[in-house]
Amino acid sequence: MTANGNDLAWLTISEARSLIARRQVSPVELVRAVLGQIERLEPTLNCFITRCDEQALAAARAAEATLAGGGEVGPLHGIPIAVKDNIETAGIRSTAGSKILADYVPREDAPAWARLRAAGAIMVGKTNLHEFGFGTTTINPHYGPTRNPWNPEHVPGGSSGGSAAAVAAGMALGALGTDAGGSVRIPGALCGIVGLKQTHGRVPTRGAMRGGNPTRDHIGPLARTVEDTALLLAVMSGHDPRDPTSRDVAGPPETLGGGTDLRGLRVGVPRDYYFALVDGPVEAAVRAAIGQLETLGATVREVRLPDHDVLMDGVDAIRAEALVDHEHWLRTRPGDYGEETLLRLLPLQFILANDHAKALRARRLLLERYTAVWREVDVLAGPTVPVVAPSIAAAEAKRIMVNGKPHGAGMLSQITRPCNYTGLPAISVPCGFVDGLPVGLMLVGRPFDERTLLHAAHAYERSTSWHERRPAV
Amino acid sequence: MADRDTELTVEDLKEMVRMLDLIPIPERVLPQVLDAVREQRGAVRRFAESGVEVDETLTAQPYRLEEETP
Repeated sequence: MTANGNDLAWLTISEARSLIARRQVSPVELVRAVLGQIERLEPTLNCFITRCDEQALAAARAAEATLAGGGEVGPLHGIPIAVKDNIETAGIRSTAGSKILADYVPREDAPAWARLRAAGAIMVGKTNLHEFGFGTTTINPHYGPTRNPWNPEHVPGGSSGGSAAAVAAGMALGALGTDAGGSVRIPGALCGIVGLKQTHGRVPTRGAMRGGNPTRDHIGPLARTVEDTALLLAVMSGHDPRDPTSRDVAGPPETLGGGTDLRGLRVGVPRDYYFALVDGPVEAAVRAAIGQLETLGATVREVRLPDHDVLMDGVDAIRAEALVDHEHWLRTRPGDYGEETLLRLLPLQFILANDHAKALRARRLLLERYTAVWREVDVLAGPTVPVVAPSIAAAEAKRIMVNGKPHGAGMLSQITRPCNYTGLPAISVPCGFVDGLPVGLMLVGRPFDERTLLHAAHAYERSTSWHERRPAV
Repeated sequence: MADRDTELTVEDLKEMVRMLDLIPIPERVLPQVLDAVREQRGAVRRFAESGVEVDETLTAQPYRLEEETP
């Protein structure tokens, strides 16, 4: 394959890695192509809070020198990556999308990013997000809204909207996001790329800033293909002795096979919760995707998740933990928070300790409902988001229409949230378009069984062409 | 409980903030905070009324079932 100029920005990580290894593309060429795409599209899409053009070029030159000198290189050598701005990056301003941390410069990298950097990745910038990650639209009161590459009048989803939009628009080959309620998978789905929330504990969350949800938060990868996502995950994974949420488990596969044979895979389609609130055309696209899994050899059956609705009510009080990271600033600098964030945080102080304790037990029961399902199936399949990306105006007006009825933006995380309470791994892959906007298929897997999840997603992706489309922006 | 949640007022929130030394709530967002508190109480109420019992449920961190870990 040959790739020149702007085409380089559209390479997958796997393609770029191969071209760099064969000296057919240099890291400097690749980074320049991506920076050119950022220069062209950033005024429209507003993906970045901080651009790192000079640092990226310097890193690319160093990467090129290493190659020229015959030095040892990592699996992401010279690959341009974007990092969500609530992930700490040493020496680079990390605002978490807030005014409060507008000038915060960490001294240390978050381990997830440190591992990508050690593998040769080059950071092109810090991406925009919903303030402190507390929301699903990336309409940020301090840094402006990020816009969806498929239609700039629409939101990219959130909270990792800048990361997802950047990858979808060729402004990075991959990105890091965080996911405490769906914040990797939602923008992944709404921007037409792959987003993965791995099992809680597989990737350290240390350095994910002030999300306040240590038992629900994850740092996860976004990329244009499942293969790239698997590679990023493999590099990020591993125990971190300084992170008590981190687990010491065997790593996921770095590479995936090329086959699309899903014989032997048992796919469950939940009768409860997952399809309860889904817009008709989105449901049709997702059901067609599930049909495609069957065509590839998987057996598909309906499964029950009893009490799922009320257990989601039961776990709601766990959100109270988010207040801990913010109490000091809420008392001393309330005017520096956006109103939406204030409205998310301040009510949490009225959650009673007794209800929080019950919520922890409800979480156990929710997990047990899923554990029972794993005796019948290997993965669950459903929509990632109930709708395609809503317009910015509809999101602001809390008039996101689902089957003719208006909803607020919290509805966007309706289907993704359970996996943040159970810790289960889940991936969103592109599975269609409605009105020119992407739809995501979400697959949920057993704890630490990302191998099966990635295999199923990879086979589906390879048997379709949704991931090959590019936005016209 | 349902009636009490509905009856919860902005003045009640102010009183709780004062009595319990909670985080002060800016006047302009008090009505929306009240709505959110009512929603939170609604979730607690629905769960309580669902009949799902948590009394005998054992839980601790880590909360994942160990037998599911490869």
